Amino acid sequence: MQVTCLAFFSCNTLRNCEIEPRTGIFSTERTQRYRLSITFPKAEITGIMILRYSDGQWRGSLVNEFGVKAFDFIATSGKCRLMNTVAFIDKWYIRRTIENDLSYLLWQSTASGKRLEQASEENTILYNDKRNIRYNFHKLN
Amino acid sequence: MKKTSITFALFCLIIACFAQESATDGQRQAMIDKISAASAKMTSLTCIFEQEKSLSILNEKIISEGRMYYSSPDRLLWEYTSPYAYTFLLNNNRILMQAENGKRNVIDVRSSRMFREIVRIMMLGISGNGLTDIKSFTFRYFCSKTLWQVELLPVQKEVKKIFASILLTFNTQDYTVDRVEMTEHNGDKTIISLKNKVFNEPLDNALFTVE
Repeated sequence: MQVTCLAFFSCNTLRNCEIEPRTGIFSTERTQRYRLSITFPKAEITGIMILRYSDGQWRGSLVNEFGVKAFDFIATSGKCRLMNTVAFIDKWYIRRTIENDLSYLLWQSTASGKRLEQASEENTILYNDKRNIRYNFHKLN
Repeated sequence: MKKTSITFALFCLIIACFAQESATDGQRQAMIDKISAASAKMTSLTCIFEQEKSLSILNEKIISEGRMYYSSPDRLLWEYTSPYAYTFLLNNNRILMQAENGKRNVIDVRSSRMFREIVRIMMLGISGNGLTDIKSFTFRYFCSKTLWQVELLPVQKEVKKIFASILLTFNTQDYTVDRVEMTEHNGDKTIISLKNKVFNEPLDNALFTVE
């Protein structure tokens, strides 16, 4: 009886630990395309971000206007991982910062040092106050 | 068994007909001569372009369109019109990049090796000028009766980090570039097709004003 209760409790706890996609920003129903600018203190990346949610996983890519890729990403279980990162941002501390910021946008989570100035499917602005980075998503028709 | 053999032989023949063969030394030189001659005669080029970016991570494509104006030897206006507005303007050694929101960035090409290489690739892709630039690329030439292609393998590390190869497809009627295919290291491609080309039309200098 005690073992059964513990097992039931554990399973229930695990389900409660599954992290849901954040609502109100990126739709989980379809592929979406955005104009994105990431403004760092001394640089800026602009381009098109395309992303899609499927089977508990976000997948996406950011390319610049000329089609040169900045990065791909896959996000599962509340986390995000960048891949195929362009050379000038392919440093662990930059990747980690962008991964954490994207995780915050994609999953229902809280984090200090970040704030959403605007949050809608049409336009979203995220500030990483700690690193002084601004993400501006503007939906493409 | 006989039917299988015939089918297989037919398949090989079809593949052989479409296979691009490496150019012989003589063919390569003829290609370089004709392309260089066409480039030398080109004083301007106006066209529309379509850019297709494949993304293997999503099995999706991003299609962009725009207009291009080129004035020999070193002025280029590359304007994206759909699905976003973005301008890349080169005039001599100065580059202007202007985003949809009006934000402008002016760069001197001489101060950035990366931008020098970008400009080199763009000029090569538009005019075919630079097919002997062995400091920047290793070249491989392919030709058939209907198709000429030149594959560029980057030598400079800044470009090598971004592209595994660049493939130029030339029109065998006018010996100018019809298509540029840039392949990244993970296999994703950007394909730019130049269409409705108009050569040697006078162009307004105002098109190329950086500031």
